[in-house]
Amino acid sequence: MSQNVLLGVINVLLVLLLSPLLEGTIRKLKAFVHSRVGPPLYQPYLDLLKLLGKEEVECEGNALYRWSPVVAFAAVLGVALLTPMGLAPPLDSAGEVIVFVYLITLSGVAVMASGIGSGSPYGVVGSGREMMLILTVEPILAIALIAVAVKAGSMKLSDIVAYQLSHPYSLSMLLVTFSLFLAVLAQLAKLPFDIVEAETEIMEGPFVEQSGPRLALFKWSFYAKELIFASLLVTIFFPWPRIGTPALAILVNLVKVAIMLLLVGVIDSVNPRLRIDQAIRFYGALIFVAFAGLAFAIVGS
Amino acid sequence: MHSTGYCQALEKAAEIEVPARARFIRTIILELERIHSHLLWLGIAGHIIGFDTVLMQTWRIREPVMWLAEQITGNRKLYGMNIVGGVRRDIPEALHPKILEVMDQVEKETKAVLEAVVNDSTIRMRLEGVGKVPNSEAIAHSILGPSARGSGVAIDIRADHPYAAYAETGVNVIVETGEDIWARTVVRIKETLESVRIIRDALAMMPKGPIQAVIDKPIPPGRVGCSSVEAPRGETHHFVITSEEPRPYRWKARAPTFQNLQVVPLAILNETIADVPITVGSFDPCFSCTERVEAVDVRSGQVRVYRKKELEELSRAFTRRGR
Repeated sequence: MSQNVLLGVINVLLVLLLSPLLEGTIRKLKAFVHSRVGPPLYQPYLDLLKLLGKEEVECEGNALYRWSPVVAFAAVLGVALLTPMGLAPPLDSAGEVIVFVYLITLSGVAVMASGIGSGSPYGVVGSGREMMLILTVEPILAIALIAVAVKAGSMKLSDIVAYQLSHPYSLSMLLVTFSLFLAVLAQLAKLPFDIVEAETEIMEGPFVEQSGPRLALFKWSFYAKELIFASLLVTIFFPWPRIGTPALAILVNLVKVAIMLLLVGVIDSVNPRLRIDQAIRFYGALIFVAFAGLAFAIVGS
Repeated sequence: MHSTGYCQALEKAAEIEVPARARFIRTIILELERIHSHLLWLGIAGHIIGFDTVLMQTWRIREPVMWLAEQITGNRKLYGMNIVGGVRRDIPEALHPKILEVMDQVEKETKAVLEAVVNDSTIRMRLEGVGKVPNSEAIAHSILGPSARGSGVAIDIRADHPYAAYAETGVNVIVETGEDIWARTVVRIKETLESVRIIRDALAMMPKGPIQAVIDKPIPPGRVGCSSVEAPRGETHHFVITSEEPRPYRWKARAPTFQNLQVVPLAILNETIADVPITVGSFDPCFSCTERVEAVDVRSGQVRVYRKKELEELSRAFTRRGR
């Protein structure tokens, strides 16, 4: 029990304290692709500090608008407790992959609620896009995770990781990794699926009326999601090698996460934004890949 | 570009003969402006569809052009190069290799951009078949410049009514028949390459001689002059009536944006919100060139048009309140 608490504290601290640094790394990479110098690595920390210290400019929005940042932030911290980050997932007994999917969806719903609650036309359009994206991307996420669970014979993330460590790669895992990676791009609002915020179209959409500490919570939850999803991808799909020392395991995981996020960053900087209908058509096709992965997992290949 | 239009209108009114060297220098400056303007537009178009790498890279390519303009005229923008009867500064021989060097660099990098953009399937997904302006509508609405040439209308003042030194250098009018945003994009990129060609030729063909006409008598009053210039956004017209004082009695400039904007409602018809910014952007609009704003009260349906004077007063009042 006490060990789980310790693991939980480690995970939450990792997510809260290191995710802005990873975001800073992505920005540096984008700047490199742009032929720019780019902001310093610690810029996201400054952004958060600045926003947290600012006054909140309220709009006429209702409670949905006011509380959605807290819900999004809490949901993401909850997910952090379920994700293995080099070590065993802290809430292993309570949290199975189903809870993971629910909590991630909750953070997306909070984004949606923020836009609808603000009453701003830009926010409402952004929320509509978020809803369409959730409806197409979450099934892929769920199918992919269920395929892995079928393979491992357990819904628990720790069992899945243990199974993956002792088994070589298979066709089903290849398909599942591929579809999950692309689903994660939309989850992280990275180009070409930066459709919900779409700064030049709908001015950050659901976040258009958010300011100060509440905007900081949203931003922080997005930084945190980067670390969480990258961790999920690397620990489930690239868990090797097995490392005994906890500190080293965390470090190796972070290196793998950074490489994964750099890949996300490269894709982010060499693509324009798709239209929502194009994105949905893309994910509509991808869902078959995920299903194929699930089918192969069921027949055991 | 506008100063060329104004000077040419006045020169026509007063029957002033501009020296050949000055005409070539004007051509070089006009084409430098077109290169930087088209590259600027391409970057902004990239930014609108969320492709910031295009923005950063095209503006990097554009930077040497600005540097070159500063070397020639003393300014990066608003060159202050034209005077009635010629140009203010010569382009010395010593600068020629620099100009050619920058042109080589711009050509090489613009070709690379063209290739990258043409081969990018995601960009084409966003731009092809979007913001359609059929050829017949482009003619009916009299849209101008690259916006018209992207809809298969082969109009270009430089070729149709040559001014400056365009008769000597010649202009290949770039026309695309796609009628969509993609066609307008390709027109602008290819025009950038054509401008590089024109500058090279103009530099090679430039004769020696004076750069200003000798104006020994005052400009007679009551004369009318009209001149057309192909600006990067489309044709621009200047109309001047001279007066007894050393300033025009009447002067009217018409920029192409107001004309081009007329077709926007048609181009965005039945499109999604996501396509509206890039469709409006694809006409390279200069909103400050339209000098009027129409405000519609959605509830009562009342329309109020703000003209230039009211807009000026409003902005002054706003600035005062800001302090």
